[in-house]
Amino acid sequence: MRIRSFLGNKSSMGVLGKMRRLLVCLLFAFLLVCSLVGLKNVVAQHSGSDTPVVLAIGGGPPPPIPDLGH
Amino acid sequence: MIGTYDLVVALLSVAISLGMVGVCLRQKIFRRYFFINLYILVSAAHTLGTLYFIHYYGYRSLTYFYFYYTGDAVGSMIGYLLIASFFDKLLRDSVFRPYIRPTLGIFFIMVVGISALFVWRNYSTLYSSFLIELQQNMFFVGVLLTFLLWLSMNYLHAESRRFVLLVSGLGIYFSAHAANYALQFLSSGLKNALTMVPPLAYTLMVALWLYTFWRVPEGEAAVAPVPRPEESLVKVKISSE
Repeated sequence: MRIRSFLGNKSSMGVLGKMRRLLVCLLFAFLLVCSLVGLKNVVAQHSGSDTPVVLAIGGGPPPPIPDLGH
Repeated sequence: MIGTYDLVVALLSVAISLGMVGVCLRQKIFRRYFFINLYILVSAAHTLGTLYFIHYYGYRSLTYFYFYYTGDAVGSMIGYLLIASFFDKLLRDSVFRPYIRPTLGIFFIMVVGISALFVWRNYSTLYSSFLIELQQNMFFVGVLLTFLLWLSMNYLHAESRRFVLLVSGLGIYFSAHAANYALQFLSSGLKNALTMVPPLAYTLMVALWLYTFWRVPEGEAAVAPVPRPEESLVKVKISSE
């Protein structure tokens, strides 16, 4: 209920409401970015090398990654 | 050249993908599941493109490298939109609904910014370094968002079985990649065998999606979650009173 009152509803969408909405979105996005960077750091610490994850988007085999100065 | 295994998996994934799109068209739900179909079509085109480029330019050529990772970046962005559409669907009736699209939009811009920030010193290989960095970040974003999606789905008790299976497909895909990556460091001897996993994980995900659209009706309810011990205890106490 407290969260609901903080986030507001559509009827209370003035300039202040929009600012608050933008602020909440920025906060969520920042939290996600922090989680992303944290996750990457944990993986980098435990892997012990700079080998990137090869993500196969389709069924084709991913190419070998040349030395790009990583 | 690529081996028989790679060729079979690639062609199988294309066949299953086209089958899934065909099922969606037949059931007239292509527009309702637009992003999943777009993702599948782009991935299938990318797979066919990889076979073409390997055949004409070679597996270790730079042309293939650039084609693969540029296509991968496009596919990752569509994949991101797909996960965002799942969030949108799941939180439709929630108080968080107006915040989903702006948050994910800002997050995406931040991820691209971070990727650019990490590689801006490598002028000579700026494009290729950026592609790889972006791909890495999109992978972690995919893992993170799929995990959050799964958590929200469990917490909010998703009602549709079809939706649960579609999200589970994403879970199989990303968890297989994560496990594969971890195993590569635990046992370096398995490295060659483990490179076979990512395309197979993708094919399994598409196969699950095909099954979902083909065999699971739109309105079928998801299996009711098993009540936690304390919840069931409370119910027993209430009923005994």
